[in-house]
Amino acid sequence: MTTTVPIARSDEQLMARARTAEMLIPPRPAEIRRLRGHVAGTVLSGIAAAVVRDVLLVLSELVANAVAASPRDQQVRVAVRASRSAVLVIVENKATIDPHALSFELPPPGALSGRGLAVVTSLTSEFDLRSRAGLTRARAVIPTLP
Amino acid sequence: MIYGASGGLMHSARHPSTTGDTGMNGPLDDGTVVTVGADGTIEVAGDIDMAAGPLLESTILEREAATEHLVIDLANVHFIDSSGLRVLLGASRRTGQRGGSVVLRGAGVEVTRLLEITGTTEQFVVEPSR
Repeated sequence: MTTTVPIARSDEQLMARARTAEMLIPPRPAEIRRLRGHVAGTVLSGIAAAVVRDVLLVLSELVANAVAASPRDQQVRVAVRASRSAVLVIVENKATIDPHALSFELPPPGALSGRGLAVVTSLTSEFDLRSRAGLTRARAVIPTLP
Repeated sequence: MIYGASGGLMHSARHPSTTGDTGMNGPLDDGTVVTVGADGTIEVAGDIDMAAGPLLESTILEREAATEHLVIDLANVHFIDSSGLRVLLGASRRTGQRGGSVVLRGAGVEVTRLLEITGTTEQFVVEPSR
């Protein structure tokens, strides 16, 4: 079953004017690598390698969280938009989480986990995570200009 | 995976397994392979992420049964995220508790950048490729 969820109108308008990819993926870990490859070869084509690395890392962290939280019969919606000055990543999945229960700061160096959102925060100029009524939406902006 | 207008429909296709020096190896993900060399070095080629992490971890655990000093060659790793880092940190913690260490050999910019961002570089011995 394919499930689509709306994205904010302001982002939708921005995405219409830029190079964009929108994808629905099953919540399976192996899909994340294929997603990175697709985005790198299309939306991010021609962008500086250092920026591409950051975008793919942010994308992977957000989609991994969504895959882990999603019911098996639902799909994860991913949208990536590249403009001259920034790359916008939106990841939406059917699940409700409590963002206030999550850590956006790095744990101690010896801790095994809990770094994903801190990595995203460190690489983005804007990042917000909202969850309500069975839908979780992460929005991240990675600058492409120094 | 269903792509938007620019992508069309894409089917997954698994790559064949790659045989390593000892046969103690396996495909981690499409295109990601871990092998154990004759000197015991764990060699990873491809991405280390949520999909590839579990099999890499199982290989590491097998090696930990034989030695407390692990060498993991990452020269052919093109991507790593926090899921992959968790596997490496787990190895570092376990070997450290036994007086050992984890050497990350030949780590490229993707690996070193994640280590720097997360402040975990000092959990490992980082050395260049031989």
